[in-house]
Amino acid sequence: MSITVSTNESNKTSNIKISGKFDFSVQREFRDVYRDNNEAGMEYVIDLSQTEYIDSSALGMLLLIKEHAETQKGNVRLVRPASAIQKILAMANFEKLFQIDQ
Amino acid sequence: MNHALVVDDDYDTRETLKSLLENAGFYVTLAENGVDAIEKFNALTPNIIFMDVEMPVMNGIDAAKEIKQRSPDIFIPLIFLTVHNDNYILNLCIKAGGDDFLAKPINHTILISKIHAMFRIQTLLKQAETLKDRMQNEEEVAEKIFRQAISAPNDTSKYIHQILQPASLFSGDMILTSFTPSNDLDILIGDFTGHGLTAAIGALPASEIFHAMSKKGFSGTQILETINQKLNKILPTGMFMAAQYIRINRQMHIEACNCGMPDILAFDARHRKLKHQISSNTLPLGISVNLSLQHSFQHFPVNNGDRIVLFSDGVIEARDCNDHEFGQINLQKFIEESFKHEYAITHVFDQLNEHLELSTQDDDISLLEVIFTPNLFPDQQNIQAEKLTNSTNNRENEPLDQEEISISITYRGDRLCDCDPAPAIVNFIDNSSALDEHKQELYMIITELFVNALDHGVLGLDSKMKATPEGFSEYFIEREKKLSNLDYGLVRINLTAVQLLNSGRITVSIEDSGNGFDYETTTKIIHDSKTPSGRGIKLVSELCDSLTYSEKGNRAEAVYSWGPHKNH
Repeated sequence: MSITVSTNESNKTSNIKISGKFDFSVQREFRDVYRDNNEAGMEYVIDLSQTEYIDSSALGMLLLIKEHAETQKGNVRLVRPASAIQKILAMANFEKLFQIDQ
Repeated sequence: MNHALVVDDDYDTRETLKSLLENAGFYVTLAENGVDAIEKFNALTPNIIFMDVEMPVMNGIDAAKEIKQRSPDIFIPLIFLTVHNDNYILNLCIKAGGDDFLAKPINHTILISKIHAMFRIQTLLKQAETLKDRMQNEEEVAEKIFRQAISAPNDTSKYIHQILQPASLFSGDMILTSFTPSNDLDILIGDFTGHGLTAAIGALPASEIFHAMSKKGFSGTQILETINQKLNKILPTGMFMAAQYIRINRQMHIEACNCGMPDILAFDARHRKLKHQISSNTLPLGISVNLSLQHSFQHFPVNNGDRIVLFSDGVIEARDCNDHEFGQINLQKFIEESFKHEYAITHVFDQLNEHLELSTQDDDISLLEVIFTPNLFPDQQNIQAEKLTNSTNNRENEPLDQEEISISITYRGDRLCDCDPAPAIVNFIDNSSALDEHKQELYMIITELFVNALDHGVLGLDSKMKATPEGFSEYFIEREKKLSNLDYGLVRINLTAVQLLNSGRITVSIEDSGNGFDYETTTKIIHDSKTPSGRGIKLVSELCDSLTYSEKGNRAEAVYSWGPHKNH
């Protein structure tokens, strides 16, 4: 399993940790994590510390979860990207769209 | 009718299985050993096989290997009949191509359920096969349609070399090239999210907008912003296009914009070293509806022989069998080493394929190289020559009727920062009276005079700044800064076109609110100098019958004419 999720109901946070490759192969698994969560004000924290590779499909998936979160008045935060991942996020200027924390 | 082949050297097992299968509606063929089984398989092609393991002449494992080898493309289930659960033997059976086991003595219920399970797999595989064929067919058709739409309108030159190697059948990368009406060269490399057909959906509208707007002479900002809006409207969230865009002009000037792609690289011909890199400073296109690119453009000068390389991330992220990326450092190194080659990227591409030799390419690879030379652009001399031929021909044709159109536009203050008058004016005149081959010249005259009025008149920038490469970039940064805060100034354009049957005359006058300049001495210097500045004015005065400055130097008037009544 390359995606592990831990949801904390009380403070409305869902931690999504993606290990290994973050690309089209995990698309369905990633979508299933949030698709049925309609709770208002959820914060999705995408943990990229164990992510080794990210491609443009994954950037697309991040935009999708952001859209989902925002329609429920929630938000998405990206945390601890390794330098290779950080480089790709910077190339796409994703810091203009997401809060990225080290 | 379903046809089963039963292979066993034991008479009782054969007969029991035969009667059970016949009751289940099978036609049954019997074989007594492996050799017998292969012969009957070849002659009759059954759709399920039951095979004993230990048999005289040839055992079941060897027979299974042979049979599976002979039918690689279709799934014919092969079930081994086993006496005991010897793990070693069971393992050999699966390795030989066996799909399942059935224990002897044979139990009727288990037999029937195993047959059902096997046929379920068979149906799934058939469906997958059909789907795969259909998908392949659709992708081939789509590829043809898209290639024609995307690549066909591209302008080419022997100084532009491009390589595109898709990962899957259809690529998410596209390369677009076009000359503008003033013969500037527009290049765009786009990389859509993902691969295959879905990745290509946005390619069609993006390439149409690019070609249409470039041909009409719109600015790079306007082209990219229009593509962004269109993609934002039609693509679902999560799909977008990263892009590298450059516009190169004859005046040795490049403007570049990088939206989410790796760096655009420019290499100096003399030192054979990297001299500029343009990094991404904005979002990819299609994500944000209000993307403003006006401040994302970067400017730099080029010299003869300089090479500009554009590429997609598939190049630097290509991984070899040890999972090492090709990397930008390698790319730069190989280009610097390859200046002796006609095209440096051919050498890079060879190295890249060597790097990928024992692994698979999982992203599209696009590479484009432009070698800067005045010959890169369609020949201005030819246009001049055509103009002369036109003016000497048909001398006997008298004008039938005369038509005069005039247009006046005034831009003030903050409107000046994002206006681009040439395309609108040229298209307006062209719609009223066909300009044909004079479109390019008129476009160039308006653009050059307008830019001069804005830069030197309203903004008060000194073109001497452009004398050094550092000053060159600084000039455009300064220009950007002044434009974004502009709340004063004015540029007024008056244009009169008189069109006769075979001749015409266009007078363009551009006036600005600036302090003017000492045009008598300056024009003399411009005509003598070879610096990047002033080239535009030199070109305009060569194109026109006359170019005169008046007032305090803040009013320029250019007269351009063609046909037998050309008044030199």
